[in-house]
Amino acid sequence: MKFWFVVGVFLVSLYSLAPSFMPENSEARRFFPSRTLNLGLDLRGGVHVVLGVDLEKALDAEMDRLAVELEAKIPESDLSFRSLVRTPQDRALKLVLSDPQQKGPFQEFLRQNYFQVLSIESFEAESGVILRMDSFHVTEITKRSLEQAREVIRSRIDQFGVAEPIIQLEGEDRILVQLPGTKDPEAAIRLIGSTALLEFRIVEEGKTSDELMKLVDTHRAAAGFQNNFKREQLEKLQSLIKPSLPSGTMISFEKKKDPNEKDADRVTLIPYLLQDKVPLTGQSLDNAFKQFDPTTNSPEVGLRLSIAGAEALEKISTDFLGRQMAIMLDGAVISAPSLRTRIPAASRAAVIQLGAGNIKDSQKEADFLALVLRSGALPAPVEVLENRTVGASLGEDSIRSGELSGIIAIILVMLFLILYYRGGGLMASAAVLINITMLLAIMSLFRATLTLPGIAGIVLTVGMAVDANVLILERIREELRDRGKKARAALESGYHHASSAIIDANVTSIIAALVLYNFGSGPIKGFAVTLLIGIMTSYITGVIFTRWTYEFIFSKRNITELSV
Amino acid sequence: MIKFLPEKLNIPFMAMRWPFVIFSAIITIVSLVSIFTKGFNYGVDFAGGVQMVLRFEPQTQMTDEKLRSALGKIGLDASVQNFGTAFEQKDASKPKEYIIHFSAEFADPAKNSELLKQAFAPLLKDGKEIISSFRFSGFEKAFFSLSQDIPAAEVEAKVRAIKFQLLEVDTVEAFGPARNREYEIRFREVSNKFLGRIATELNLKAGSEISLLKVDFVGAKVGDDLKWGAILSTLITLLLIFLYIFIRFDMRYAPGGVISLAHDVIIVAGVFSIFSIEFDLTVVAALLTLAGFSINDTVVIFDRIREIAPELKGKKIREIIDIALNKTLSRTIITSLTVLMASTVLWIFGGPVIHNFAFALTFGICFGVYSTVFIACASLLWFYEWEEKRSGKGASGKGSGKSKAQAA
Repeated sequence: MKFWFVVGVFLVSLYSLAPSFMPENSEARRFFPSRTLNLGLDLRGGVHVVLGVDLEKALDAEMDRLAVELEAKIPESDLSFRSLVRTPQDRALKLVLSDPQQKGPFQEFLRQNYFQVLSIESFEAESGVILRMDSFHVTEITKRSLEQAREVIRSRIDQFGVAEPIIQLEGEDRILVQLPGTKDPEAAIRLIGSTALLEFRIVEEGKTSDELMKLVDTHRAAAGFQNNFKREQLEKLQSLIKPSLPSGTMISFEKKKDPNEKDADRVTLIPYLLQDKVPLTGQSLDNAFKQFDPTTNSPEVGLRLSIAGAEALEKISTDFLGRQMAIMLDGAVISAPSLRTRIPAASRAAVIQLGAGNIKDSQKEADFLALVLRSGALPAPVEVLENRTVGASLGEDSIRSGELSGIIAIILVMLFLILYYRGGGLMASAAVLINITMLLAIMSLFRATLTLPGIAGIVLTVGMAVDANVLILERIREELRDRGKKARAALESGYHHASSAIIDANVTSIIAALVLYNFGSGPIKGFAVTLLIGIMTSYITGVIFTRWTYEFIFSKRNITELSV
Repeated sequence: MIKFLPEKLNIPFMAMRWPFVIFSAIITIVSLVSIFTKGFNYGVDFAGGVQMVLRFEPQTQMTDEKLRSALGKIGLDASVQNFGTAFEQKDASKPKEYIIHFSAEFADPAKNSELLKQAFAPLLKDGKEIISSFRFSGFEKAFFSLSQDIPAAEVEAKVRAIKFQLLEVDTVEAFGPARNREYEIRFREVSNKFLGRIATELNLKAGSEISLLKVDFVGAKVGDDLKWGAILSTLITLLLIFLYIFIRFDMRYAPGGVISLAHDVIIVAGVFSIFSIEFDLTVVAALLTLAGFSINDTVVIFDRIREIAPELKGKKIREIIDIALNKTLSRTIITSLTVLMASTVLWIFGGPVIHNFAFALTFGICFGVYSTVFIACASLLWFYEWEEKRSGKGASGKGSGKSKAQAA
């Protein structure tokens, strides 16, 4: 019974491994599991980039934002202040209240409006109050910046069109990006770290949206694609469509998710006819923040403009009153609010009201829009800390040499075992074969990544897995020789006495592999994973499976001599 | 039945331990001295910088000298090494592959900051510092900010006039809100440009005759992090193994196991240092694997000593150790042989990427066997006798009986 289980495990392993060794579009693949061995970047080629996110910068920006907000909020309460400045170098605010005796009310004000956001570091009547960001808020901003950066990077990579990208947070301020099989790695990296271009353009009213849609559809069909999510597609479409548009205009799209659509990935593209001219850019903005309309309490985005920007906006809002102004990020429209009133330059402030909708969505939208306006999409600058690019041809070479050395090592070890231990060696060799198929099958089922050091790990496992068998067989030889035991008894006591040394030896290897897993990245992690799985499978096959097989043989035949 | 060793083997290992212990002590000290004075030939993982693997097709008949002189003419102070084992490189019909490694100094913030400072110095007013910060962001762009307003066209002209090492300015643009006075410098694509330059210098066609197989860029920060991570991981592994042996055996066994482990790791690292073999992440992986594997032998022998000690009451611990060593010797040799076979095959056929990894393992495994016999067991003997002397107990059987009870 147990023996047939061993045979079963071997067959199942072979079955689940088979598709990994079949050609990509083989007909036979239909009959096998869809999961195949997941090759690491060093084997299939690709880019591995570690990006560092400058969180200091994000925190500085947040402090600036809080300063602007406080300036507006303090007069709304019963308090007033004489001055409010950012202390240079230091991430703190220095506030001098008009009435130094208002310590109590000010503390109450902070507790109500900035609980766990701002805290008082020192309160001195004459020189002023020093305010610092609360540690809760620092953690919150850090976490949010990292996650936003990851999301922005993800969307840019989606634009680039890479299959199976990995984008994950690593450590305290790092983002790991892995792009398998990218043909133009530098372009990908450039795109990830690019500074988004923020522009404002006036929406032209020459064509109705139906007319535009029709125009776009015909040109899209001519270009031969269904949508234009990718940047190159958009650029191609724009140049194709240009002759059919009124002079001095261009076309771009807003990606919109249909709120009624269940599938979150389904988006529609809304075309806009825009002026070529860019009257205002992100350069004119000093700050942008989410705020709430004082009367309706609905979320909106407040802007603070530079002097030149405010003057430009006054002119635009006068000239194009009632028209829409598109906010464009990297050439795509992200929002197109209407210019409802003339915006006077003196206040250097403007407000973008969001369309009606559910409050939670518009809060999110306001957050996002403020972020984009503030920083050009990435919440904090990112820098490339590490970039490893492996060409596909090197990967192929590595696979070939990995396979070659694996096969040679397996044959050598098996030959040696059979020559030295004969019957027992045959059993140990069978265990080695089952071990490798099981190891690879487990890696394929759990989508563990196979790297070149990982292949080395498998080859090593072949050498090491034999250890358990050697320990057992040597012990059996000894029991037969020194203590004159009978075959069955020698076998029993061989397994019994060897087991504690086998377990000890495996535990020390597991310790080393776990530390290595914790330390390494990419290929090294792959090695540690292979080693860990290999230690487990080699124990199962080398100790348990061989024992069951011996038991099976003993139960079928009356064996008096062991061939070891 | 094939046997390597006679059945009644009785080599008096412990009696001949001193010459080996002294030998080990000497090479350990030599290794340590080399590690601390000469240091390692760090690969790109630890040293930081840029490492590229270039492939030259056979018809180019590339040689080390040609490539070196071409790189020198470009102004690249790079180390050039063959990628792949010697016999792979000898075959003239196969493409030649080289690793070139150069420091990322061209991207050093302090150096470039200084360049910018000099460029803007003529505009300095009232001894004000003009550049307030400069940071190089990875491969192809840099940011800096100014502490006073300067017309954008003037800023661009100033930056373009700077001679950056290896980098060519593509664009200079204001960035972010105007009041921050931040600018972004974009450089032309770096790695393809290098390839192009090398190709032009050698009169070759990029893509068909010369191609880029691999590019690694590791910033100095990451390199330092990795260095610490590697040292810490090795120490943690040693500590955990020490604890494990302490729990499974007892205090007399644990030091011996870890001393022999540290001995193996130090000597392999020492060989990398003495012969200036490139030391990269995979070598650290090999050292840790070695630590896990080399202790196997030791554990197996310790296990046997503990097992037979009660049966051989009255015998001296030195004799017990010898008996255990002799009994397990054939296992030690066979297991090491199979692992050695695997690692040697990897060394020869595994390809250039894991060449050093396989070398560290192969070399370390040989030392692992030796150190188990002479270092681990000699330390065990020493600690055993030291404890007996201290507690004044004569019978060794009693002591190991106690340890068995502890382990159970």
